[in-house]
Amino acid sequence: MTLAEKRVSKLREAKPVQISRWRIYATLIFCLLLVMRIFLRLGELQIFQSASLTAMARKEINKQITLQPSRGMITDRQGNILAMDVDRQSLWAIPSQIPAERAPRLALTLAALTGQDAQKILASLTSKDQWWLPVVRWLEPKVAAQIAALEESGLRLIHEPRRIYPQGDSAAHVVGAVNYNGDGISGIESFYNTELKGITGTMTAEFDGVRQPIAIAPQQTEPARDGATLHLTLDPVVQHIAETELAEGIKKHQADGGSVIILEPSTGAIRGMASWPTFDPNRYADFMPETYGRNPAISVLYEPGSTLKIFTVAAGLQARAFSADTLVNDNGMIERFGLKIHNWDYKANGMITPGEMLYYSSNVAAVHLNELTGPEKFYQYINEFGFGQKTGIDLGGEERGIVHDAASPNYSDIMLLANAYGQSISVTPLQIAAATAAIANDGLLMKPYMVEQRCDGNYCVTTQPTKVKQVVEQGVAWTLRRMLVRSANHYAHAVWETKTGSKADQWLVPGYQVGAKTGTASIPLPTGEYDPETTIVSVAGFVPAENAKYAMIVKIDRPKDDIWGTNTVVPVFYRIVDQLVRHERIPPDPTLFSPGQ
Amino acid sequence: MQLEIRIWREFNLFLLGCVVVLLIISGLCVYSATFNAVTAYGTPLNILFPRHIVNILLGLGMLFAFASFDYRLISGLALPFYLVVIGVLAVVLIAGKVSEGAQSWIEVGTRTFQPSEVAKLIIIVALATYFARFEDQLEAWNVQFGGLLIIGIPLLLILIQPDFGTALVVGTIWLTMAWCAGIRWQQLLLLAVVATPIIFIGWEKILDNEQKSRLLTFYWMFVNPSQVDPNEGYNITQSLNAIGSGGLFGAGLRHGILSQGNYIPVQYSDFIFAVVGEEMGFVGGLVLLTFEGLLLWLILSIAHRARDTFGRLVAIGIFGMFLAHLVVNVGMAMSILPVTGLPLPFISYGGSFTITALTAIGLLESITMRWRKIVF
Repeated sequence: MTLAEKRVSKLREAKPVQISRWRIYATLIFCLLLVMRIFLRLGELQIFQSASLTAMARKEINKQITLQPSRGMITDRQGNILAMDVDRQSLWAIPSQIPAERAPRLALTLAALTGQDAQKILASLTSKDQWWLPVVRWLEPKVAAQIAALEESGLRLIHEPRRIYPQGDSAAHVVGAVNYNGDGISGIESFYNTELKGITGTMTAEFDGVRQPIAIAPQQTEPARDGATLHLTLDPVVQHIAETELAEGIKKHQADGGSVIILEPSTGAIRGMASWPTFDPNRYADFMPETYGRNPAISVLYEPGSTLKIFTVAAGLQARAFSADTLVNDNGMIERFGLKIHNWDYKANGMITPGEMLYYSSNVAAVHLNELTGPEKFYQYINEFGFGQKTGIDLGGEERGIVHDAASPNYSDIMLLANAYGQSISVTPLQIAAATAAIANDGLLMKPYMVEQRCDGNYCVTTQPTKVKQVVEQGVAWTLRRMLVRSANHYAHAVWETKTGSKADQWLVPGYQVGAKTGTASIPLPTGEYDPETTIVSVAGFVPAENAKYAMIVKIDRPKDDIWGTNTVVPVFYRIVDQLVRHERIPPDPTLFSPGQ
Repeated sequence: MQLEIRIWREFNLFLLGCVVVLLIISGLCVYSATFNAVTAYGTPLNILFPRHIVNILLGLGMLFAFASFDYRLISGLALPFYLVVIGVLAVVLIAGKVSEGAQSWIEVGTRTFQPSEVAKLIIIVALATYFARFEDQLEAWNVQFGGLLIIGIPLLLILIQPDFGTALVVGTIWLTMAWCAGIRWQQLLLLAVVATPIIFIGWEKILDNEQKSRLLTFYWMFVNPSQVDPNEGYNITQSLNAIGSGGLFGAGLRHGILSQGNYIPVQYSDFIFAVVGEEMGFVGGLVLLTFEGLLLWLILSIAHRARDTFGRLVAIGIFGMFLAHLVVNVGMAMSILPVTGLPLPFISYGGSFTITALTAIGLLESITMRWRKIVF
């Protein structure tokens, strides 16, 4: 007998079993009761509640989801992409599905993968307030794949297109930015938000538990219409010149900021629009709201100073209040209504014409001339040139400026005199640029515009230039242009003195006739007086003088080393014009060179 | 040798038949439940069906192996196996792979293995051996206390994992076995008095928030379903919708819209009854429950006529184990019990439990084949 057999034989002699059978019966009855309970519940669910539960199941499955259109692209006129959508995935967490003891380790893993702060991630993973919340938005595809490989049930990756701006801070104020909800908050993104966004579609279908439409089930789809592609009027070369030279000038003179606008006088198309300080729309939230939220070229008001004298002369000539030969007495000081008005240099220039008023930038002569024009005519033409109203450019946040004209309750006769040389009137840089362009365009004011072509799929609409008004006659515009060419050459010393050693008038841009007028704007203080320390300096002009390709304004705020501004803005203006004529391949006229240039 | 052949005449074909019917239903359900199923990250789960078939074949092998083995010899191995179980449960706690929020898996090659499933069977054998040894004095306080100790050690280790479902099963096993071994009312009353503060401490210290919220969800589903957080009650709601929309005859295999649409969580195991309800309807559910009930009745009748205390108690323990699994799984799917995650015997996918359950049937066959005192 083996050991096992011995054991079995021993066990065979075991005593009779001791368990009472009623206990087994009781167990059986208990078991029967349980099974009965289950039967009853099954019948309740599948027979009596079947209809309502089926309805709930269908409701769970039949859903209408919104199909998101992709936001339209923004390009410059050469097709370089300024803004586009890229496919990205965002990481969302369901904290209730993440065990608390594993959350810290998971947070560290995610921090290592995404480069975000582990503490912040941990706070999201363990949040008690929300069932479902975003952790990191717009993951790089590689990182998203790594997170998906974790197979963590509490983490979800959600498709979310991201707006990117490949050119970074270039043309940032024009293009604008898009907020976290996908709405444009400034620039083109804001003005054309509806067009860029497109139209959401819907899909009515049966969906499975992971939110995928069930393929075999019937579907009804109203496809989303993607947003329009906008081709801007911006010329990449012009834009680059404007940005580079503006930044250079600001840096050199430790200025606070500035703007450059370059437009085509014959159409009003904006070819370059740069402002400083600028921002990177890819991470706009890192910048100040006033930097990314508004475009200084169209929404900053300033008192233009002497650049407005161009329009003082234009109004008078057009109103026939004076001619190009009218002489007024500039004795250096004029007293009106108890106020003494001086020239900028406290010098007297004697009997001078309107052209010489511009040449010397004489405040006294401007006052005399404006008294000849009178408030009615002066404000008529000021309004017709577009001051005090929006130019209507297709950019978000444009300001209208402040003109207290004869009809305004704030008007007093002293306004007419101060306005003559550009004080007590507020304008935007774009208004000066557009009005200057009208002089270059034979007196015809064009509406400035930003979008050259708008395409919905393959269907494109090209913007037609809009004529606003023939503000002054062609002859008046020609006369003014001659005056402005002389005025421009008067500033040549700011560029050429060091090279040629001559302080005399020279060609500002050798080989070309250029019209320009500078302005030094005093900055009103909250006290009502003007800031004696700092100024806003600007130059408005066009090139070439006849059949101008470009009109522009260069404006620099608060240069630290040059209160009059000529030495700050004129070299910037010169360098921009010098590069523009070469970009346009306009051959230089050999007769337009001064000795030494 | 002749003896070995003759006892096969006593092989309980009804029991095996019941199991085979359930396994056929299981094959259909697992096939349908995993056909379109994917994980939250899109990994398809249809590889589970062939695995399930392999598990069933392995389990049937175990069934016949154990049937041919004299169950009384097993009682001699009860102590070493019991010690191994305690050791393995401890190892799981230290080195186990965390899955579904509980630390109850051990990796064996590429497959995982859940020691707590096998532990249930070994605990049954150990407890039966212990009670059989003291079969003359089963009502004695110290004997019943010893039984409680035998169950208490693994129960504690399982609770720490924490595997609430398995703990519930082990508790039920102890209750049915102690009950049939003749535990007295006074003993149960004392246990209740002592257990109340322990349960209170357990709720405060041992259960984690997820388990607490599951129990609370269940409580609120009972009292006021509209008050249940829609996200917490999601699983239960989907399961109820699926079962309810099955109606009388069901949508048919692979035609349940919720079952096929990945709406029901773990629908190949914990919530497989929702698939049965939706695709096979009331009739299918009735057939399934009938065969499960029949199986339980057959197990009790085997216990009833087993020739010795050990065999009888093993059968009772297996009965308790299957009863707990059946009631908890189906009750959970129909929201009459909290969500604890136990497989439905012979129906759910799950290697460890499928093999354990079929091994248990093998043990039962061994008991029933050797019920006569003298076999000549």
